[in-house]
Amino acid sequence: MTGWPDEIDPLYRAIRLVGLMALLIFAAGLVEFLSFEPPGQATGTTARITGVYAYDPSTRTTSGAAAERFGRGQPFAAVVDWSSIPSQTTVAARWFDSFGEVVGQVGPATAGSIGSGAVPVALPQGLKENIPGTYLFVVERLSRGQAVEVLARRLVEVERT
Amino acid sequence: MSVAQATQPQPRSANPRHRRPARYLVAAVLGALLFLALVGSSSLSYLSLDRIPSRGLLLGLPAVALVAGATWIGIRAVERDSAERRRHQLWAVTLLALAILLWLLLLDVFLFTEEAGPGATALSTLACLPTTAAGLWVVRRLDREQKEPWRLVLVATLWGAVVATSLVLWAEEIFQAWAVNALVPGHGLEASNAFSAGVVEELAKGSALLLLYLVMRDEFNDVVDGIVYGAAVGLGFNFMETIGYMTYLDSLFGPYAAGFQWYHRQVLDLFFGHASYTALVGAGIGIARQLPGRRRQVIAITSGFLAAIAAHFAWDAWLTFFPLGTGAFTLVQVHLRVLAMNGPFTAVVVVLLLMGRRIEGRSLERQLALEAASGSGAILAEEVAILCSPGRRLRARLAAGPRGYVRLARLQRAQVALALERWQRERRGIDEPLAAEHELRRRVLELRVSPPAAAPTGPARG
Repeated sequence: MTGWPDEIDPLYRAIRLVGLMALLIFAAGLVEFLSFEPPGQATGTTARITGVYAYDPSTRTTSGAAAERFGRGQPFAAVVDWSSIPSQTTVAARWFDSFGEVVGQVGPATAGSIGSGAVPVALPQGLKENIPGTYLFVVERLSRGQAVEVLARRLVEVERT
Repeated sequence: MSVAQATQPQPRSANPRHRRPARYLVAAVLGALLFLALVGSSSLSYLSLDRIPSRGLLLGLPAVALVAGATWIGIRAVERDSAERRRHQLWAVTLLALAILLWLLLLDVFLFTEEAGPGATALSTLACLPTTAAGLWVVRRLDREQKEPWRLVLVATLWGAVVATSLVLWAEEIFQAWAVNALVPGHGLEASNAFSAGVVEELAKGSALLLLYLVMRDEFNDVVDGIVYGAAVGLGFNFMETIGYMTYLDSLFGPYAAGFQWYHRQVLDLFFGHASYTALVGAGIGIARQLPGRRRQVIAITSGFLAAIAAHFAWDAWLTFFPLGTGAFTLVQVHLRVLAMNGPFTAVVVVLLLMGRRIEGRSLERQLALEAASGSGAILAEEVAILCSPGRRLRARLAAGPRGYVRLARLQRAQVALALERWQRERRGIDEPLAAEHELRRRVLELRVSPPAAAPTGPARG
């Protein structure tokens, strides 16, 4: 049998090195994850989302009953009961579309300073209708300008038709 | 040779099979697990589809017909004698496998293309076929000494396109559904989704390579073979994923968005994305194929998988750190981004490939010289220099004229196969020539004297 080390040895060393580099990449990923998802941030605070409603951008008002599905052409907005959060807590509310892009936002500000207005989904630039798919609405607690805890969340489906 | 050795069955090749090797059992267990995962995935897919439109019949009916055919042949196999039974059983299993593939493809098409419509789906498929075929042609030619059989390359591609995509669909859906309800949206969530995609997709694609390694070991010889099969699986996966993205974007933003997606995935990223990731898995398995010792084999295979997952993770997670601007420069940025993020991993594949080819080339030269020195007549001393070089082999074939080209190509292939078989035997520490080697030598001698008049492999040129 071919002795060891043999002609395959350089390849074996190379693939081991590549494996080690992969572990370094995972370590970098873990650091990234922990910096954006820091442990020990749970305060137990929760926010109350009253519901997601059809929205009229011209009057900036919601209407109808709360719903979980909307047509592409129907603007909609979330209504949050900001009084359910301690007033000095720094918060923000954001809408994410199915691509993970922020498509609506209120804050950051202290919960007590945010008015009772709805948080609407804005149409992406150049589009006349919303992109279909699952939309995520979150009310987040911020610390040093970074979202560290989700106080409430709601998923809404924008249908294709 | 001892009496005990002499009474053992004559080994056929450098990988003798005195009895059914344990790796077949491992392959059977792995295959069964994957099959169960596919059944679960298909059931979920079927339940998630509200209705099967009429175009579903296009693939659904042949699948049903194939199942019926497999059953019929399977029943007939019971009545046959043992030799005939084996042939019938093989046919039945093949037809059943084809039926499963078609059914999975059917579900994939619906899940990936959703409501894009048959027109957009057909156009996207037609657009992706030539690029993927060209990619496969290039990938297969990476092995200059002994090209992998088309049937295995295509099986690997089909696995990537149909089986692997089916395996990942629900695993990713379920993970993302959990993550979106548990994590803070932003980079942390993106990183976790990227990690899930990397793990699930590379395991699904890599399982094809593991099965090939376990079952078709005679066609999976070294790192070069691993890279070829890995890239083929990746190209298959990329094919189906491109169709999915094209049809989705077409339904949202129109044909320009679909066209850009085609260019990005089928031209710019054809060899950089999935093909490179899965080639890393294949490289690890290919290196393990030639390593002595189970521990080193496991380390090599694990390293390949880790590298592929890391490469995939890095692209998915850190894409947002390379934001694209607007205007004409965006196009340049798109290219630079692929080069900067996937380029290093593709470069690793290329380095491993070149190292593997160098080792293979040197071993080929040594074995050709040894065979020539043995005086068997299968390889002549003056042929060694020609057979060592793919370029010289081609020139010799061209010099043989149109009629001689095919015959000489067969002879050269058989001669190279003989030398590589000798190499495999040497690496396994077997001194005596094996039956497969004798058979290859006999084949070379047959080809050498077969009509039209024997032609030399070609004159040796400096």
